[in-house]
Amino acid sequence: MDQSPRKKRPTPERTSPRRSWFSDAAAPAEPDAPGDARAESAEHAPDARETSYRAINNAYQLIDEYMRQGQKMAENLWVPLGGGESGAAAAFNAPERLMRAMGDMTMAWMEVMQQVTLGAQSAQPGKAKAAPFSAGRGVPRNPNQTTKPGAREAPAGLTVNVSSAGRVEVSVQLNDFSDIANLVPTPLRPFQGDASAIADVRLEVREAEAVMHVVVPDGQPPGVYNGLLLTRDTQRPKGTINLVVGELER
Amino acid sequence: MNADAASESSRLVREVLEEYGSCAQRALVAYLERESARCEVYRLAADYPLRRGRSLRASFCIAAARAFGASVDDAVRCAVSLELLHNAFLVHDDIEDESDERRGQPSLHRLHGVATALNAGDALVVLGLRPLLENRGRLGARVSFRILEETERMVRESVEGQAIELRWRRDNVTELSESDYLAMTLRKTCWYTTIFPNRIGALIGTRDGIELDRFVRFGFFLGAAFQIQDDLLNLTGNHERYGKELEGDLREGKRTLMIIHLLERASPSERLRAKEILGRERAAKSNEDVLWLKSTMDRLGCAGYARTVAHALAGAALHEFRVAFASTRDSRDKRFIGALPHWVLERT
Repeated sequence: MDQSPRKKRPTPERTSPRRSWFSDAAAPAEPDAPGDARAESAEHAPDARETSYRAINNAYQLIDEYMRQGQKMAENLWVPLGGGESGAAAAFNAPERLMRAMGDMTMAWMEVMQQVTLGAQSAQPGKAKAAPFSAGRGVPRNPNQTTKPGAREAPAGLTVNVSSAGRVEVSVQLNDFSDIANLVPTPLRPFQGDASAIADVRLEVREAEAVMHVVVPDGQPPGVYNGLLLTRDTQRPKGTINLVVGELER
Repeated sequence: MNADAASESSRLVREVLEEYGSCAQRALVAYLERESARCEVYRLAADYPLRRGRSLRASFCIAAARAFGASVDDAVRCAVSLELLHNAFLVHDDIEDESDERRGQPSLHRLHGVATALNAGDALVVLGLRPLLENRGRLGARVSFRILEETERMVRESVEGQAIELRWRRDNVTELSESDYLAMTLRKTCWYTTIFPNRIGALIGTRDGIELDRFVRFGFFLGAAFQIQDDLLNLTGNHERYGKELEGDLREGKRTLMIIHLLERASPSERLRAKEILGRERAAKSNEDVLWLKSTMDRLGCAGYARTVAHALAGAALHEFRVAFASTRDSRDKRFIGALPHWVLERT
């Protein structure tokens, strides 16, 4: 029997991922902090990582919610044309027509203002002349082709499988699917309140598609829960997951 | 980032701010001189712009336009407009906050009274519109109209943000979280300081050929880090360089991240005392009150906490910069914008 000391795996430096990308980003290192800031930072160093993580999480949740609200507003304004001009389609076109009319009117107003205030100046030799109306892109933008604020491509290739006893609504924002196998979802944390996070969130990548499994525990309090899709190696967010439990607003 | 690279990026930011800031300032002065000859109100309105700030917003706007292929001349009217609107906000802010100083000199309402200062602020708003109308000669009616739309949104977001902050102070709201602060800052500061200049610059550079929401995240993180650092400077900065009354935020009862942290961490009796002090009128706050707030902040590590949050947000800004500008070719202007998250933290 081998009497040599048993080999042991060395104790790892850490057992959980580094959740802050700030440490490897180019922001100034703490030693650059002026005066007493350095001492204070050192004193609170154990909290710094948690503080950073929470701040970034809060900030991303906030800005994502803000963008979603912007998208909803834009959807209400820019109703898609149905192709026809009668019935329901015509009714939907009314706000869009109004917006275009207002835009045309304002542009006409600007034309007049410019004629009054700058006309003489532009006409002088050597002065810059007004660019043609179509300066920039050749074709005036069609509101129906406008990218809506915050709009994302449909998440082709990603299926979301939610297991819940109650009503839920889930949405996933992910721009880039090229590296989906390398993504890890975070637990879904409540946007407000002290409810526990929904921890059972997994991303299963198959050959042709990816499936995200979310298990909502029985009795999970109603509310909005948000999580991130992080890149496994860098811990940088690539997408967001938003889940509404119960009491859905329609 | 090593020390050499950090120093290089700081130098770049200073250079670009000086170059584009001077360019915008020259156009601004020429414009103000033209208007000042007509009516006295424009001479008063010219006071703050002529004191000259850092010109961050104007420089950012020009740099973003150039990063997307435009010339300085394409963007300079927007830069001038932005500076005028920024100064209009400052005049009104100083009245609302009862601030005594601005850029190292007495605030406009301290010099001329509230009514006159208010009117001068209004004049700055109107003056800020003219360069946008004059854009048409260079950028065409459609792009000029889009810029007006963007400006209207920026002003709306800014006044909504200011309304949130004023309501917190009026109603002495103390049940606030970090998220509440960030939501207010997004509107009050980020839109006109970092989001709008970037969007306008990209709009000009691409002649409205780019989806602008890609710049919101970057601008939000950058602007929030900027605001937190600004709040920190109000507590611990150098008076001469800061140009405003130190600890003025405490006297005004501003809900900074440090105050929010104090209210979260303080004992119930301390919280009660803090709330009582914050609820008083500025003139009713004694030096002892301010000293107590400051020493309690020191004891609870509020500045360290805010500094950590600012650093984290600057890191996130850097990440979002890389995302938003991924398809933009390398240039001095792009490097300047990418260096801003670092710069906002090292301001003194």
